[in-house]
Amino acid sequence: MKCPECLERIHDRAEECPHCGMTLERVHSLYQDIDTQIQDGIQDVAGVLNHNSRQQLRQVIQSTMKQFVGVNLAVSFISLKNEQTIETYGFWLLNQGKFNNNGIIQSGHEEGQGRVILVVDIENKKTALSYGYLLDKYIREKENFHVLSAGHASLLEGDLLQGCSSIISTLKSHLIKVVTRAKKGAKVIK
Amino acid sequence: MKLNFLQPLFILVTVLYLSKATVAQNNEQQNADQSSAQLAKEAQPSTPPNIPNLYFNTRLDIADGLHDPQGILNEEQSKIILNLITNHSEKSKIPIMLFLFKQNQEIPLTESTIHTRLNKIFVDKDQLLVFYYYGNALKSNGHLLLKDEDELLTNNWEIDEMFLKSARDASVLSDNFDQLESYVRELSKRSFWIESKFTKILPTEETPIEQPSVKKKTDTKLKYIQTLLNEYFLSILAGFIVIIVGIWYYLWNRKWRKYVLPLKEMPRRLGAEYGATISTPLEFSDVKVSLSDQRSKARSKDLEDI
Repeated sequence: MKCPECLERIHDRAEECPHCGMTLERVHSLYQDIDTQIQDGIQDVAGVLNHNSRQQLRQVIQSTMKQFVGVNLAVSFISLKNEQTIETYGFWLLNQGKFNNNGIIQSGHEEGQGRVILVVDIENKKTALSYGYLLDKYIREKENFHVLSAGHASLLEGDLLQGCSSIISTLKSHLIKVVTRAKKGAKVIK
Repeated sequence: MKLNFLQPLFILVTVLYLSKATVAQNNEQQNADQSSAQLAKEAQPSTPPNIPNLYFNTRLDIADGLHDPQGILNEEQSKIILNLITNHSEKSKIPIMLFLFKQNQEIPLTESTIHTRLNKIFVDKDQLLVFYYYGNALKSNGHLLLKDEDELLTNNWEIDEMFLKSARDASVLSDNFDQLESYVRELSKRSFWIESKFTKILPTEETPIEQPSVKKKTDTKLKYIQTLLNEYFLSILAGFIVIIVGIWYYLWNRKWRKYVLPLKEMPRRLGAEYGATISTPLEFSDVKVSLSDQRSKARSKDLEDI
């Protein structure tokens, strides 16, 4: 496990980072002014999406969420400044975000632990994924890179919608693989 | 009295004798006339035969295997030679055609003209053609005419050797006709290898050309597939439909199947309720910063941590 702030390795039960002393409370002060509402899986603080793009992205997110019970997917477009980093913001939003998905999320798991947020920092041109505890064991750093790199070309061209769609699609394929691999523990509902 | 009785008998004998003598004299005279006529005939200068017209006339229709327009052979000799040629033709796919010339005759035509005319005479016929010079076997030469070939196959050394050896064997004999007979026999014997050598270009009605085995196999396979399609068309169609439905069902199922990730109890950290994992960020600010660079950077960072 890594500390979202100093990126040093930490114990998976650490209450605070032994290197930088980082906790959720401490990070909260950095982002407290930001609106935490995530409507239908989209948070567009940077204001980069038009109506059509928002609609299309919503469809992609919802179809994915329908397929994976307990997984709560969101995409956040933000412009981070000064001390704010994409890592800490992802960590903060994952825990502080208020998801409003119009009842899409199926019951099964504790709602928050299945969260997956794709954060796109428009200002610094960076993207990252933050996960809830449910997905901790299934997505490693190597897979993270593979998932994110699927949208790299489109993001470079400035096509945010296509970039995010590609990343979500790759994430979906990866999750299917993960579930199939972990068949013993996985339940498949038809 | 005695004289009177013998007188008529004497007269009769005399008459008979005289008449016989007259007949003998007449015969002798006739013979002498004939021989003198023959000598006179031989003494006269004979007109040279028109060889191109006799042998290479494009309208020439040659039915049997011997062409002797100058009558070099008598009837009996012709029969013997024809018999040999017929026997050969019954067994061989390439019949022998013998053009008979006199010992020192020359063909007043160029090679190309001869070729052209022969091709017209023997159109659609395979022939082992021999120009035989009666009394001079070694001068004889031959050609192999094949209907599938544009040119006469004369430049093949094996064919040339066949004619030459036959001629050599024949020339040992002293009698001209014996030489010819021997030549035809030897040629007939030696010509059988040609059939095997030119099998590909010698199709017959009984034995069609052998196709390459690969093509034959392909044809057999095609026929087999065709038969299968005819007989089991419905089964194949049903199988095909089942496969299509199977694939469609798999894709449909994959699209609409719902997955539940197995829940594993994870300890809380950093005071976070839902999660605290964040991936290494991917930059998309500069085209020059490639994915591979970013990957190696992330890896080295991981190694440093370890």
